[in-house]
Amino acid sequence: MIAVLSLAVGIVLADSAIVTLALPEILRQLDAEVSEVAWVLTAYNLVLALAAVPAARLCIKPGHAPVAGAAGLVVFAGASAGCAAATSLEVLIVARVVQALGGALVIMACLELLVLASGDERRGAARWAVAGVAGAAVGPVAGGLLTQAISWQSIFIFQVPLVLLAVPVAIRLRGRSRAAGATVADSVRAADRPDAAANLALALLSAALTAALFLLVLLLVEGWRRSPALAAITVTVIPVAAIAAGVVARAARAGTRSEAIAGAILIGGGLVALGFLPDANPAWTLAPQALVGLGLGLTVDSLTAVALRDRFPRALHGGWTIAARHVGVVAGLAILTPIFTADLRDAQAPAQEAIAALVLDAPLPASAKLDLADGLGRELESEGGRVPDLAPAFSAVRLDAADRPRAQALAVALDDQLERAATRAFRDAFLVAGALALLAVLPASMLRETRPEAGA
Amino acid sequence: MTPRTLLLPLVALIVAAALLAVQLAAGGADFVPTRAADPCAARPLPPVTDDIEPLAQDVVLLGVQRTACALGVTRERLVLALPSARDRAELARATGRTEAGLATALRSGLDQAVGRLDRAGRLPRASALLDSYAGELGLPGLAEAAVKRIPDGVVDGLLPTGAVLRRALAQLDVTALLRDLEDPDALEARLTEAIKAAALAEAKERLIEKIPGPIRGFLGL
Repeated sequence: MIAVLSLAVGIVLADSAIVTLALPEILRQLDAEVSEVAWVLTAYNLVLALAAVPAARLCIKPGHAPVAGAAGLVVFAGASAGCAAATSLEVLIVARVVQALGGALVIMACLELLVLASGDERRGAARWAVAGVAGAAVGPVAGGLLTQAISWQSIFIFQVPLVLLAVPVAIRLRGRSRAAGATVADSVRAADRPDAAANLALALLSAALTAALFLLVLLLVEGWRRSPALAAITVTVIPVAAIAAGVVARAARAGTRSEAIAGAILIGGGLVALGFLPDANPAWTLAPQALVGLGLGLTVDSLTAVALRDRFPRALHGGWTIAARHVGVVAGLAILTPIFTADLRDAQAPAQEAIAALVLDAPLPASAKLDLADGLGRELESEGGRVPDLAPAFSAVRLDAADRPRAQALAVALDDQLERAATRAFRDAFLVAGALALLAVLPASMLRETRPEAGA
Repeated sequence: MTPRTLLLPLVALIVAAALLAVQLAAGGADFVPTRAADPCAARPLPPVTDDIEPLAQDVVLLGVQRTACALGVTRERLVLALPSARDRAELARATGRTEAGLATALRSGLDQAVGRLDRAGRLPRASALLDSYAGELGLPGLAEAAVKRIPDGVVDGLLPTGAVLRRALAQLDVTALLRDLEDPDALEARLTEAIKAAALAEAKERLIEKIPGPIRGFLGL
């Protein structure tokens, strides 16, 4: 029961970033621009942010959570099927909006249902928070692997049966929900104010974490032209490190505030390090990602726990944390997308000049250079500003046997220049994202100090 | 904050700083596209070639570099702009010239390139290029064979490569040449015609110079 509900929470929050690795494929299939396709992510996160608190208000009414949860699961599943069937970007975005509306109900209802199923408020809330972090961290990896193995549509198709598994569980908990009801004290108690510091830190860190996933995946797949599967495997470092962070936190026993500050520093440091990659080898991204993952593990679930602890009503405060996180995601996308798309545009001229210099100085006959320049120009034009694959331009040129190794060396040098240009184009966005994470140190330092319970 | 609660943020700070230091030491700040070289900086001259295509490439590359230096732009920007009328117009505007001014600058750059190669002895002698030239002249078989039998000294005396190239450049309509950049056949025809005409004019002039003055006067040359 708990596992099925946690899975539903994980899937809904994974959807926040699950299409990140599929974006390049969606970009091509639906013939969209980078700035347009970002709306597949933005629309979902924006609606989830706006709908989370109203959904929470619905779920805190006695007996409503199971019904709202079941309805949300059905809407989410139906909209997922709609996403898979979409043949235009507009339809996909509309389906994502509906998916987020259903998702908001699922997340907020599941907070109540997990508490009911666990029989303990703190344990139920902790499971809800951990399921959300796990979903957000694993989402891009799962999406990337499915895109590579099958198609981007399969991401949405696979979700349908998995979330529907939770419908009978929600209905079964209906009786327990009615029995739990609201106490007389609850009915007269005013709602506590949201924890501003924890929610602000969550928003800033979510903005930064979006950058880590969204930008890194775009850099790997679009900038360095690596396969979505390789990108998915590469970004598994983040969830693995997030899990390892639990061990670090237990060993350090430094308290929530200290963990949140350290986590924000690690995320910020990891993102700044991603802005200064010395090579286009994905191995160089592993250590920065490990820092980001450790930071994620140290911050998000502990900040969520702080935001929920001793606050009434629980689901409403859960709604505020979801709203804060997804406002952060939307803000992150809104701030960073124009920065890196402008930088990508600005990177074209220096990249073209670097390529032209290499072709001009290559030890090849003039006729081969002219043919090559013609082919390279066509490849650049056909990609419409995206990083092109230069191999077809080389295969179209007829060369003597003596010139082939020289052409091969030129191809390697040109690819190196493209990778340099793409990497440089992402630098500013990574640095801004790092600054957002470091900014979270301020609200994190204002948190109420709490020590982890023994054996937690 | 107590020392215990300070320790974790401090460790995080040290780890993040150490990673950044490693990446910067490995060249993280310099992993950017190679900047185009200064077009005014001297480059080593290419070795002498006895084939038309590499010679044309050497002249054009050096000429474009000289032109870029005069215009105050990189060689690569100039090369990327030349094939497109819109980009040429933009480059002309950016460098404070008209399109005709751009063509003049290019002609001057190519002329300087020929001069530099000539002075450095890097231009091949015409006799070394004769096989290619003879083919380009489109002469009938017997005439082509006869041309190839002309002694090298006579060929080199009548057709000094530098002088022929400079003459061809002087006669070339560079504005039309730029328009032809997108049509390789028209471009090749225009260049061949210019070199052929320059070679004939140069040979004729030098032959006339070799005729003694009284005979030249008698013939009205």
